[in-house]
Parts: sequence; structure tokens; C-alpha cells
Amino acid sequence: MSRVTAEQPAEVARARSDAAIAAFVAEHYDRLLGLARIVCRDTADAADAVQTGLEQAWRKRSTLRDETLLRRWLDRIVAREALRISRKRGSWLGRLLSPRPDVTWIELGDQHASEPQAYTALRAAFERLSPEQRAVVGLHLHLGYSVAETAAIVGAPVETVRSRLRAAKQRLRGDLEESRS
Amino acid sequence: MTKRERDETFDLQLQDFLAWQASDTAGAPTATDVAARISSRLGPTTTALRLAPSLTWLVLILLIATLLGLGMIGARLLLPRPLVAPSNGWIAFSTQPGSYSVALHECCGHGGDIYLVRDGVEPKLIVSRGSANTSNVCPAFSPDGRTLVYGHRDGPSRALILLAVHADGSVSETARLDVPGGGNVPCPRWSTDGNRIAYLDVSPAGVPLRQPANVVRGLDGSTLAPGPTDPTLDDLSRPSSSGDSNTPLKSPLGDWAVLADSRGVISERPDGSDVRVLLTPAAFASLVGYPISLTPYSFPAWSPDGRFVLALGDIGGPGFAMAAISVDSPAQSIVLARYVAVNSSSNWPVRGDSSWQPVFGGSTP
Repeated sequence: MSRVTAEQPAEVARARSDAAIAAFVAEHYDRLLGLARIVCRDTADAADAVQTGLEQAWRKRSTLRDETLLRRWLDRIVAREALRISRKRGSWLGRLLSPRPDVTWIELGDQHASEPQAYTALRAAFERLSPEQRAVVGLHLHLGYSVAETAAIVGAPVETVRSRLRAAKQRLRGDLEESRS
Repeated sequence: MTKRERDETFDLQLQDFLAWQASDTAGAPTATDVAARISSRLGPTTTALRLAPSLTWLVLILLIATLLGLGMIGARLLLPRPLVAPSNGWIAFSTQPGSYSVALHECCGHGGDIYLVRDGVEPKLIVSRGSANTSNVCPAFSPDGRTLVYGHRDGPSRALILLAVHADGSVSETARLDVPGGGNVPCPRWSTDGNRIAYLDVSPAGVPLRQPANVVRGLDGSTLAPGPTDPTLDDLSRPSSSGDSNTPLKSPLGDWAVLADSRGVISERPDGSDVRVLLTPAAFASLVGYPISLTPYSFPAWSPDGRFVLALGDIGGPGFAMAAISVDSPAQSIVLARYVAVNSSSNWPVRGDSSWQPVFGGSTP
């Protein structure tokens, strides 16, 4: 990321800045969108979280002193933004002010038509987890962060994260067994 | 299958599911779209622009700090000054009550010291009883505030001693007027013109009188006939050394009188109207650091401008605390001395044993 000086012509500066942003987004977008999708359960919300998170990160990138921590830093920003959006969705005020659009009547087919059979019950169970549980499950099992790293990313004590992981797995197992029976 | 194997299998199943969930982003904008949106919102990222949010906060903080500073300066200008300004002169007091009663003033042979104190300055000893336990009573500032006179007795020898008081509280003796006879320690008061000094004497010629005589002296030591500017017998009379706070003390301007009773320190108009509680017993105790409720036992003097009255509280020991209490609203008060030992547990300085230095022209002499 090259810094742009104020003396450069505006067009050149703009072009360089756009190119830098595009490269920055392209490098991290898919991973961040996947993480946000796991936390939010909704693609549109996930995209919002990623865009907001990337914009925040771009603005504050000069505060990051160690470039090797960039990935974790971005994951933290986006995970917290996704959590914030999910909590807002879950609150009564959030549901009142920005309800999920009822789109079933315009869908041409079942939105889960391509879903593997084995995931149907798991998806239903996963959706019943809290946003905090989905976040730690996504960070730990999907992105491969250790429990301690996950705790640092979500800003919670290590024991709390362990407890959330344990509770999430128990609930998923329980729901799955219930659905099989 | 063991529990551990079951857990690992479940974790793998879960990871597969999460990978599928993470990839199920149909309908999401592409990275290019998002980058374009971010670019359009941010524009070219010059150093100045990147620092703009921080600079905005800095400017806001500076603005708030400036407003707070202006507010504080304004408050200082608008509110009354904390205490005795503009007449923050010295307050002289003795640890021994002055009296024309030999029995009282000579009680216990402990003598007395004279101190100067004022707001922000600890009491300064200016006259010591010394090893001979001499009596030193009734310090009184001259009307111009430059001279302090007090009564002195060392055995049979009596005198009025005049001290020049400097701005820093240092003193130097300027005159000593011998007092003949062999009676009480003289308790001097100035004439209003500042040229004469009067006192009561029960034995001016060595022979005890039935009634005390009003003796007037010139600053050169001469004895004079009482004149219209001299203190009267009433002016020279003294209250009991056990306390005087229940008798109203009128201010120099005559607009207020203060007294103390079970309600605390009370101010009222001389005709008894407009009664106000300046300090409750609990508030006075809190002011001087006494653990239980306390009512002043004496109001020894007013400030020259009549806005503050001195109050003495018996805090045990034996000793007293001295505070200045404003009669103006909002009431303000300040401790001048937290503990001063009296000369004897039987004798407590009261009204007339303190004097507040007059300050003319707004500056100390």
C-alpha cells in the first residue's frame, strides 16, 4: 500500500487509491464474507458487515504496526461488525426498524435447493445458535484460530469462549439427534 | 467408536458444513463492487484526509477545553471571592483572656501568648509568655492597622506594648508605656482617631478601687482626661471568659448581629428580624474537624468590613479552633486555626481577645 501525497494531481491520486483499495478488498473479501455469512446467517447482512469492516480497516490501516497481524486484525473487525448486525437483527427494535424482507413470493425456487441433504438438519440447528456461539464456532472450526486467538478476536475471556464452543456443539448434537429420531 | 473419535468426527462434519455455509454467498456483491463502493465513499486517501478524523477530535477537544476554561474564569469573576478579601488582614489573638478582674486574669499563673493568623497562614507566635509565664492580653489593632497594642504584666510590672506590624506578619516593638499601680493586666482599646489608648484599671494608684477607673493614655505615655473619641466604659467592659456566643455581637456597620444557640451560628438584624442559620452545629463541627456537633462558645471579633465574623469552638484539649464565617449569602467559612492551646483550662479567650487588622485602601500596611 503506497501512500499518496497531497501534491499529486487529484486524478492520479484517485486512481492509485482506487487500485490500492481494490487490491486490498480482493485479497481478503472471500474469507471475510464467509466468516460474516456464518455469523449472520444472511448473505446481505454478511455483505454489509464485510463492506463496513473493510472500510473501517482501510481508514485505520495506518494504526496497524505489524503487517503480519493484518489478517487477524481484519477478521476481528469483520467478526465484531457481523456480531453487531446479528444482535441488532435479534433485538425487537431491530426487527421493528429493519425487518427481514419477506421474499418467499418472488423466489423462483427453494433457496436451499442446492443444499446437500446431510446439511439440512445441521443448518436448521446452526441457525438456532446465538450470534456469539456462531462467531466462535466460525473462527475456531472454520478459520482455524485457537481458543485463545478466538477469545482475543471476539473480545471475550478464554473460558467464556470454551464454554460457548462446548455449548454450541452440545446444542448442535442434541438438535441433530432429535431431528434423526 | 470412542467419545474422542466421535468428537473428532463431529468436528470434521461441522467444518465441512461451515465451509459450505461460508461459500453459500450467492447474491452477495463481488469484491470489485465492494471495493468500488468503498472507494466512492473514501476518495483519495491523502495523509491529511486520513488524519482528518483525529484532527476533528483534536479540534473538538480543544474547543471543549477552551469553553470549560472560559466558564471557569467567568465563574471566578462572577462568584464572590472565597474569604476575607479584600480585607485579608492579620488577626491577632491571645491565648489568655484579658480582664480587669485579678482573679480571672491571674488564674493559675499560666500567662498567655499572642499570635497572628490569617487565611492561608498558620498562626504565628509574635509574643511569648516565656519561661516566666508573663501575661499578654487583649491585642488591638490601631484604626490604621499599622500598630498593635496589647497589655502586659510580668510580676508586679505592667505595661502597654505597641508593635509595628509589617505586611509579612513580622513585628517590632515601637513603644512601651509603663502602667503604674499593681492591679490587673491592662486590656487596651484605641480611640477612634488612633492617637490615644484607654483601659480599665482597678488599682491605678496601687490602692484597689470599688469600681474600675477608665484610664486614657497618650502615645507618648501621658495620662489624659477621657475625650469623645475614647472608648466608653461599655466599650471596655468584657464578657465572662466562659463564653459570649449567646449574646448578639453587632457588626461594625450595624447591619447584622451574630449569636449562637442550639440551631447553630445565627445571623439576624439588630432588631431581631431576618434570622438566618449560617452554620448548623454539625456543619461547624465538620468545618473545624470536630467529631460531634459543636456550637461556637465565642464570637471574638468581626472583620473590619463587617462581612465575616470570627468564631471560636471549644474542641477540648484544652484548646480551641478559630474559623471565619461569612454573613453574606452564600455563606462561606474557612478554618483559620485548627487547634490553639489556651493558657489554662479555666480561662478561655473570648470577645475582645482578638482583633482583625483594618486594611485601608485595599492593601495591607
